[in-house]
Amino acid sequence: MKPATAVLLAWPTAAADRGRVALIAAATAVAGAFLLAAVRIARFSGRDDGGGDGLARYVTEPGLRPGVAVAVGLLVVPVLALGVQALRVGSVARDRRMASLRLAGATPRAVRAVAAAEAGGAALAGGLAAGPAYLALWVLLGVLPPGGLALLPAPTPVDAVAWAGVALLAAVGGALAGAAVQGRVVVEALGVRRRASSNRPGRLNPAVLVTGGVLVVAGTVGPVVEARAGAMAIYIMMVGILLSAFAVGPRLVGLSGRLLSRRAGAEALLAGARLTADPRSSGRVAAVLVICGVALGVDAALAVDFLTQRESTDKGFYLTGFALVALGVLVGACVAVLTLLVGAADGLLDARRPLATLTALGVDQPLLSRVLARQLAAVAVPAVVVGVLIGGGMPALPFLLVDPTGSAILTVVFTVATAVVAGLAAFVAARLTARLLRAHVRAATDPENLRVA
Amino acid sequence: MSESHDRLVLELNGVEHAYRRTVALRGVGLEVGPEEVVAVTGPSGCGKSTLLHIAAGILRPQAGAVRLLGEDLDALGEAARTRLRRERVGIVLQFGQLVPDLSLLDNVALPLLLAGEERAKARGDAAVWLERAGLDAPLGPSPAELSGGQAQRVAVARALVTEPALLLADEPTGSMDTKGGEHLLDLLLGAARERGAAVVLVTHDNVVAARADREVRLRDGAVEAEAVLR
Repeated sequence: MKPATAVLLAWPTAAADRGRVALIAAATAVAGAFLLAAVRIARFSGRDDGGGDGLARYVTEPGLRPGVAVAVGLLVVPVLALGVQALRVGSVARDRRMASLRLAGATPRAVRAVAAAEAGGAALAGGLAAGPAYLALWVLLGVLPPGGLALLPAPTPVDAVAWAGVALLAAVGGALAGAAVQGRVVVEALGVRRRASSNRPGRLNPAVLVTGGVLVVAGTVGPVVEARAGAMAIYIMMVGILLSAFAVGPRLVGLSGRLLSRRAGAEALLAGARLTADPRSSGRVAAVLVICGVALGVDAALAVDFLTQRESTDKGFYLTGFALVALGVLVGACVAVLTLLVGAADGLLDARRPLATLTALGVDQPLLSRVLARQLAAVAVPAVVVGVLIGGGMPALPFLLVDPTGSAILTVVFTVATAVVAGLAAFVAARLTARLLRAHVRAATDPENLRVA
Repeated sequence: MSESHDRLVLELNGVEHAYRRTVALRGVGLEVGPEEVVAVTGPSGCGKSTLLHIAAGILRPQAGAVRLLGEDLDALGEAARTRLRRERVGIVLQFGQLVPDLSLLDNVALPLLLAGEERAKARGDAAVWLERAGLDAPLGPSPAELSGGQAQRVAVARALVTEPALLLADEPTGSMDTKGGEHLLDLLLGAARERGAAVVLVTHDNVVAARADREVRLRDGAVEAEAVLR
């Protein structure tokens, strides 16, 4: 198939296709803007580069800058997870369209090329929009806030090379992801069937999990053994956390699903069975929430240690830093919840016939909404709680090893309290998300769907 | 209301329904007595499925009255209609009606679980009905791996597990071969007779309709003819 034909066939015409493309482009633009901001922050040459007072000191202070750049870069992770989820929006209608292409003579490879062209094009548009989005971010956080509240120094032009790199990376990544998602669906001329999605972790999962775990342990105990390992240990730990979280996410969701299925009642059975049947999609959101939890746990534990141990003339500056990290975690968690919402909405559309059948059997809509709420809570709450406990445990462990006194124990207690509060917040977010989806549940259970094949 | 009307399992009077500009039912009336098997027949698009959905309380008619098991459906709220359907009506649809995420055993046990039954008891009852339907419950395949005929047998087991007073079946043999269809009807009608349940069979297949006590023929959304078959 000629590239021009692939682009022509990939051009979004239906509302669902336009929605999917817009969401992919928007997520890529925001992720690209965060990436460009991280690169720009990392490249500051010192106080003389843009200067800055008040909150901008977190960026201009050479000792803090690498950490800030990495933190901003980490915000890319939840937004990319949203982008990956967006690839699956409206997949039922898209699969039907692909089947009609097959009927018209397109080969399986050509169908994958169309999917790659659609996702790659949307991601390229997002990558190109990342430049203006970066400038908007800079204006929003660096120009509009008054005086010392500006979080970033004066706006600087987009780094053209980095921008081009982001656009290229987005296009290639989007095309590969689009082809991969289409690869999970067998499109034949007479219809579509999804490949039975395995409810077991992939073959590489154990290796990724072990590697991630080793890196996390190495990063945690490294500074205890060798004091000069500080900065490098943080980077090693961060890579380890990312690998571990994405390996553990689907396992955590699968475990939640199995535990839920064993509880009494149809509500728990339906919610648990859904999670057990496809833990990978929700597992990505769980992974992002584990990462958010880890960041919050580390932040909370370090804040307690700072308050109880350190004598500092600039306490307010550091405490504000801890608060800003918590704010960043909140942003990441909100994006993760949005991903959960998009996934759940699409799942309802995908399962509208079984759901309409359940209604015909006597399952009322409030019960289906409660099933959805339990399903979402079973993804979000364990992920956040486990993340906070691991995150808080990482600094608490060396504190306990070095000096197992009152302040180390206080750190552990505060970590557990943070885990409880974060878990409650995740529960409330899951309930609110399910509430927002009530109209989708109503639409999915419409008797008209009983006529949908 | 007369005593004979009180004994009716299902009663539709002057039921009308339309989907936007397409009229599906025009003043349809239907009465089904206890233990009676009624076949609703007619060509595609004549309103058979709409009639069944209205009879089950899944759809509210735009005009007319429906009494199901002595209850005026129009007077019941959504929750009460759902409860009535769950507890006293068994429904078999044409295809794709099993919950893909659940095992066969849990699919059949689901109506009992929804009614608040203990998991072990519900699964025990479900296993009995699955066995009657000719399927091995614990070692059985997942719903996605079933043939159309096997899925229908599971659906029939699920419709029967609550021992309903009324069974509503929409083209239950539509996706099956002749022999498989006969076996399914044996299971469905045999169990209904054992339990004293009434049955409404929606079908366009004359062989299936011939198994009923009475046939009601629809055309263009209205009753065209009625015939007592046995």
